[in-house]
Amino acid sequence: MIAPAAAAAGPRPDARTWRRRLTVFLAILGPGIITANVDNDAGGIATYSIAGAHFGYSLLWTLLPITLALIVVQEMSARLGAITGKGLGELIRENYGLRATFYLLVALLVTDIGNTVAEFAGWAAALEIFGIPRWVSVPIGAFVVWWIVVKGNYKTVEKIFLIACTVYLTYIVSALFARPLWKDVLKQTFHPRIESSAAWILMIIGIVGTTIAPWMQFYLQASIVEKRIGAEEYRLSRWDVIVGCVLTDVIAFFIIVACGATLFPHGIRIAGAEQAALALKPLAGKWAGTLFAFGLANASLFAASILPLATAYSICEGLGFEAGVDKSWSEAPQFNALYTSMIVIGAGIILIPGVPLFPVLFLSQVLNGLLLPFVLVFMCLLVNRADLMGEHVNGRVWNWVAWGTSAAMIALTLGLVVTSVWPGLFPAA
Amino acid sequence: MSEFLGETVRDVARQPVGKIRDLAVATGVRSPFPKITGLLIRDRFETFVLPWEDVAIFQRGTVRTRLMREDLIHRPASEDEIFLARHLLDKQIVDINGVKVVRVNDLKLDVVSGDLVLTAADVGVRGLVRRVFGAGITPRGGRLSDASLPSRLIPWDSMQPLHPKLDRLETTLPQEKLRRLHPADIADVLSQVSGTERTGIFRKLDVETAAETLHELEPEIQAEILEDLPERRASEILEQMPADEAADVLGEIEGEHARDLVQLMEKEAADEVTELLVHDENTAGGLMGTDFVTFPPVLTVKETLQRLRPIARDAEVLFYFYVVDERGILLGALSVRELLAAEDDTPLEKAMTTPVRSVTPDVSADEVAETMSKYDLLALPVTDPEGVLIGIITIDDVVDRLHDLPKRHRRRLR
Repeated sequence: MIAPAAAAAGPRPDARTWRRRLTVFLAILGPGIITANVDNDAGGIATYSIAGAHFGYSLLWTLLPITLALIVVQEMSARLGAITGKGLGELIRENYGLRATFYLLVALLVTDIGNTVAEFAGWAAALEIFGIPRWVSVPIGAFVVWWIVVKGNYKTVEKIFLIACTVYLTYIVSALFARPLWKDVLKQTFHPRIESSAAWILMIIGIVGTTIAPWMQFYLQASIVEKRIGAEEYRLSRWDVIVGCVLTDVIAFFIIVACGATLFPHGIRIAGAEQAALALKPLAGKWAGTLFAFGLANASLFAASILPLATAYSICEGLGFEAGVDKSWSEAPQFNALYTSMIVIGAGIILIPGVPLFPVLFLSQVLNGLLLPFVLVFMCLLVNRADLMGEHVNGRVWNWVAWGTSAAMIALTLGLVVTSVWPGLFPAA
Repeated sequence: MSEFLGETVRDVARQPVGKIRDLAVATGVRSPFPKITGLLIRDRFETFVLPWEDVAIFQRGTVRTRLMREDLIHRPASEDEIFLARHLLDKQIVDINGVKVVRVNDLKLDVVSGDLVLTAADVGVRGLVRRVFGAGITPRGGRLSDASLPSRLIPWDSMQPLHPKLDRLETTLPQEKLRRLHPADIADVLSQVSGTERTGIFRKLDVETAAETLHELEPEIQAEILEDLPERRASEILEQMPADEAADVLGEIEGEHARDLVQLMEKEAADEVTELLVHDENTAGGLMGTDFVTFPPVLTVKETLQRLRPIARDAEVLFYFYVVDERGILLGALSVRELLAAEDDTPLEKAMTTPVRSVTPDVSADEVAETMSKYDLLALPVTDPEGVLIGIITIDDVVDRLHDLPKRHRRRLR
């Protein structure tokens, strides 16, 4: 005989409930914060440093609208991922067809190769401070990245990088030590000033491009999908995203202040890592170089190990190729070819003799800025579709900010073209 | 099909009628392939469906209507119509033979006994290139679709579309496609798609396959799927699952909802599950199942064999059975092999192994795994402090703890 079932023992005890709730919260915490930290990659540090050194505090005000835009955009990515359970590439493909997806992804690939080059440039620049020439450091960096991708336990590596990211906090201390004129800093933060020179427009596009990088939207959405955060957990996840965005821009703010206080008054132009490192001198004195190099090296390697992979995933997902790090070359040829060639090209360009590192870092971020409006337009269209998002479509304010950001970036791009072709067009420039 | 999208349709007098935006297919018709029933056409003012009967010529570069454009009926597209570009192109389908989720790059249309029908989906690079660059552009002026690019076609009878709307498109092979897959393969497919598609696939499975498929997935995903299904069906699937497995899934579902599901289950299955839910999932009590077989000590081997036969038919696994006294206290155990080897008239109390190694429900799961691995046990009985047999833990329940390898499928990003 089959053993008789024991008497019903009442409903599930509540002991499981609170523990489960805590686990849920800890489990969903992460994508926003991690994305934010990857955001301050080599390109980010270089761009903010240049902004502070060349323009003083005069660009600080841009961080307020940029933070707002960043929060809105990242929140949209996360929401798209949580509600649809699909990546951005997939969604664009399913709703706007293959051709649009293809060209967008090609643009993303080009931009991300630029970003990978930038990460290796950051790595090379950091190790040059320690006196290691780039023909030694870059191949080592490329190998480490490849090893992390193929063999590494990603979760552990991610934690190590995240902890090392706290080195950015030194910028806050350094900015305080440099005794900036806080009255001046505050005034510039809340007092927008617009110029119309090509250099100024280029700078703004770079700042926006590095802060709201297109690939991060793909990456964040994919992380949300991978963590299987759904509509319910999303309420909590939203805070993770917002905290991450604010954190990114607080760091950016202090990098600009630190550079604005130490480099700008002396008219030091940033041509390489040595000059950028001077911003940490008030804090670290003669160790400034070491500290800066450590932060830059960590940021570069962190992003370099995520970027090629995230890009390869986005592209394969959108075009319907097989993808996965555990798949062999014959199983997923396009995927493997994509991330391998990104690492090889990224490292290879830096090895070309005479390639200037910091300009490369900066220009890759401008490329980000140029691509951003296209990605944003698709995101805005998708997030407003009731058939996909149901009640989670954008509110009016969100739409204003998102469309406004796209419009502003398009205007800036056109402005850049115009002022580059006819530099004397605006007499004020 | 991509060669026709965007093509200009002209009437008998070669006056433009509009451009092809999509192709409508028939529903509810029993034919081996989905039949094209009309063209979705957009002119300068509106979008309308042109019935297939009014199309005279349908060739690459030449699409003509049978009538003058003034005489054409402009029927607006209805909500429940199925369109190939909108509902199938660029979407995911399951390649039944390759057991893979793939994306549709293009669709192959053929004329079969006078009708234009959908015969296959192109999921290869050739279809992709054709879609992006058009049919006729290659560096050397040739047609790309003929170039030596890898082409992968999945015939209609080997693909399972995932868009919920296409459910009504089942042709002469209804429901059969997914049934050709092993539940473990279905689980593999499920782990590659997002929520909507997942629920869609699940709706198509019969309760038994659904239960087996669910068994292959991680508890979290199991819970997500069950939460999306109608409660009636979810509870039917839970009944089909072994009680311990069902309890694990219910543990992942939010309290209120889980209670509702248990209430919808058959009394007997519900009771077993409720009992198991009391235990922490990381203890012997949380691991154990209640599908075990017991006999009184006085039964002879022959009688036992007779009683065992009908039970063996629907037991989850049958490694050992247990000998208990009238209070349910565990006295001994016999493996099926030992039973077969024993003489017919031996009473069980002589043939059984005793004492039996057992654990109480509060013993930790890791300890259970250790015990089972150390003594090479396929099943371990669980008793209450008085020695009453209340459940068994089989090797399946702890195998995940024996190796650190993730056994189950989940969607992976990196």
